[in-house]
Amino acid sequence: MLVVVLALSSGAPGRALEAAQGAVAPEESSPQYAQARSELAPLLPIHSEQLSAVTRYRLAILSSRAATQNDPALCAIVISAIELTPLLAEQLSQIQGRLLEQGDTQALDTFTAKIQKATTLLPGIGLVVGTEGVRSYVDYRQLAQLFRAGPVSRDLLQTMGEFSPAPLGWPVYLEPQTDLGGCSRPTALLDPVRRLGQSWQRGPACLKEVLEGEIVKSVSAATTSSCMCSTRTETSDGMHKLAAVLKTVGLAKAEAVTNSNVEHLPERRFECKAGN
Amino acid sequence: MATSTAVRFTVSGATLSAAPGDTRILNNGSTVPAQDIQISGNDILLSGALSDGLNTFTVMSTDSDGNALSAEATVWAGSSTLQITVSGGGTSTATVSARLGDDPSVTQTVATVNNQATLINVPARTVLLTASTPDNRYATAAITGDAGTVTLNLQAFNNPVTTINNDFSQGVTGWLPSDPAVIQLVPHVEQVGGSASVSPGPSVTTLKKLIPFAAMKQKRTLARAQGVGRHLARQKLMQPLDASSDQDLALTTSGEGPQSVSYTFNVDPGMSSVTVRYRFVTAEVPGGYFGSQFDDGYSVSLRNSSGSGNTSDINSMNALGLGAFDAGGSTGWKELTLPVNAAGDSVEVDASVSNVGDDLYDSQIIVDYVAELPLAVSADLTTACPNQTVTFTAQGGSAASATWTNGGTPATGSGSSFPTRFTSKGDYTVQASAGGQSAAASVHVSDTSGPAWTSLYPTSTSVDDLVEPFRTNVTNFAGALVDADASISISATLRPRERAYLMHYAYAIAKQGQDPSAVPPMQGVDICWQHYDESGNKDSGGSVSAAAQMVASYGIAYPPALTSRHTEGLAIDWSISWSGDLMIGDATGKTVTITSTPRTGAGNSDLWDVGSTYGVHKLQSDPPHWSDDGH
Repeated sequence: MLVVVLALSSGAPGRALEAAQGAVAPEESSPQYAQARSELAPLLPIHSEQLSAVTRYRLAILSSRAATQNDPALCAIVISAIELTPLLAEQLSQIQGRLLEQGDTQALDTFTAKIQKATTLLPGIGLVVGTEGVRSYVDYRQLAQLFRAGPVSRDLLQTMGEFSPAPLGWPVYLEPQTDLGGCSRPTALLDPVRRLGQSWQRGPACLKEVLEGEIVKSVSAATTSSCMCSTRTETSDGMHKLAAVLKTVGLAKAEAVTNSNVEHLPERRFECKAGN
Repeated sequence: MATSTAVRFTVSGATLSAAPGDTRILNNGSTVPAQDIQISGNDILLSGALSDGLNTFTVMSTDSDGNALSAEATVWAGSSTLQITVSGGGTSTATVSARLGDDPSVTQTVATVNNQATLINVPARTVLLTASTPDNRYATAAITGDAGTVTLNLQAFNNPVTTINNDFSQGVTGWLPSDPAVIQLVPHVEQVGGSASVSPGPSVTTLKKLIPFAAMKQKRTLARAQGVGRHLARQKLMQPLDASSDQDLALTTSGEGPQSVSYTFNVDPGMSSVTVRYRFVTAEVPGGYFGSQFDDGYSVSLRNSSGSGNTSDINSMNALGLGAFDAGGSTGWKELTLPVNAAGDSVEVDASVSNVGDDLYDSQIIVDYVAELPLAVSADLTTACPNQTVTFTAQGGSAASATWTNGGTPATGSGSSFPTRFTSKGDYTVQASAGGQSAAASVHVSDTSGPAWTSLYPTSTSVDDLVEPFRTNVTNFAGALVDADASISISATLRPRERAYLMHYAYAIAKQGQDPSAVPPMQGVDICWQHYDESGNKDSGGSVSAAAQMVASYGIAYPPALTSRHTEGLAIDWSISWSGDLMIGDATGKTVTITSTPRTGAGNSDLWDVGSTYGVHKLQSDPPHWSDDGH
């Protein structure tokens, strides 16, 4: 049996390796691997190396359902989902870009259908074919449902899903105005963060480490956006509230980021309308 | 030196062993007889050990403590006297220069007395001779050092031709040969020459491999008897002329000794230099005689009527090195350039080629063209970025002494090359001046990337900028929405392709690791994605930072496509909302009552159906996006 290492070459193999202790999956020479790869290959026209990583991800999902689960295995899957989604989106967006330039609507429809089918085989990896490209997000709610991890982990994952809710995966703080963006409303993060607080302290360490990094990314993106939906006063007040809630939960890094960005608010546009 | 000259080796830093048997000396790989070696203190004296031509000595000895000593030395020696007669110069004293064909570093210069000059101790190898007088007369020849006598016929400066024939478009008109039979037109061949088209001459190592004279002579005599050498050589060198092709002039040897051709013409005022392009071809190379004493040579020279300038290329097969030749015995194309008076001048081109050692295996000089060139300036970049180094180069005439003005940093310079940097966007013209002429070249400096770009090429929010029939469809659907008291707010319709380009690559550089220097340019978008620091080095951090600022300023969260329905005018991003039930007419005239939620265009599928009747289709995955086909 092979210890599953889901990291990609451009990812963080060390972290994935550490987290993957205990998660097992069939070896790459196994019939299961070959079958999974043959299912995914027609749907995802991506580099072989990434197809291998995606195949290992699918096998890890299947193995984890069958095996006795534990927190390290769960963390390994979450890390893999976090690392895989943007890489997949980037490659698939390039393909979509070529189809757009060719103006081949039929090929675009086929491409969209394949991506949708691929996502059903890859729970936790959200891929959305937009008009400009393929967006990605981690579908934490799917992961929460798939895993019979402890209730605390499940609750954490469920709540993380509120940061970029399925099926579109659009960040909760970002109010869409165009295909590519919109204005930011940091206070939209208040409720998800509060709910995280109900179980955060009891969560497994490896999961908290991984999720905290993602929370910092969300908070940073929400509070550094140059285009704010509200007035300056409302935005400032909202960010102070957010910082306070983050502090209460124990998310110190995210709190620090928020406080720091409050100081840079004069550089933002308020009641902004993004026009792209 | 004379072959009779004694050669002394002196040991320093050690005491030479006095035992005769401790010292062994090789000359060209052969052991020098012991009786020719004398040991005296720290000196080793060789008597009568020099042979005519190249002598490569290898000395192996020991000191008094038994430590090994060794040394190598190369000496050219000769036993011939060359009597040179210089004719055609009246009573003027001529300067005669001699250069050994095998080794260009071996030279001798003498002045004539009563039109005579004598060179002594000349090796029986190819000697390249030139003679010139203060009144601009000139002669060259390539002979073997043991020829005994040679006459150099000084050529006066001829009268310029009346028909300019720099490229042989007029046949051989104006080109005056030593014998009419030795020039002819041949098709131009561009791809010629060996891997080392320019060679300073054979190295010592090469010279060690010179072909033994006796063996060579025997082989050539056999060839002569069979009538092979000349026949084969002619066949290889002379190719039929295709009348439609670019024509070159071939000057070919005829028997032993030199043949020549001259061309004199008036240079147009405003020209800064004259260049002749030529190559040397010898059947000796494919014949297998490289390195031998049959070291055919050539000379090409340019001189002007005032006598103020002349330049020449005098060389031989061995001096060029085997690497200079291709399998057919041709060198690559060579150029010789002479600065001329910009007010007007006359120039004479003289070329000669010599068959050395015997009359077999011909050689040629093939002239491609003679060009009259003004001082010219070029830049290595036509478009640059702020602080990027641009190198301007002057060519023609006195380019090497050019002075430069109007640069950036630095602002001025000298020499044929001038690197400079400009700090900001603009068009810059840098000027070079030399020899009373001036020339200039321009470079366009683009603007660096940064947030200022995001206000350019704005995305339209007007339905009028959509293309038909989508424009009418949207107009009708929007009208129905307004009639139904829905609230609409348009964020984007037509996105200019320039904006899509800027957004796409700003995002790619800032977020996806795109190399800023590898971004393809877009016509009409004068942007430098790659930034440079004040020293002209690439500033990767600055490039990424500027791109990130653009992304922030655009307010884009996802990577933009270069081509989309928006760039085609076939999409609209808008927010649609209403309260209560929405009673809206569809395109068929039927009124549809929408009671479902959410009461937004982004999420209400009943409204999507209504939109479809107008030909305005919702893309479900993008909340504000509607298009002509749902993409």
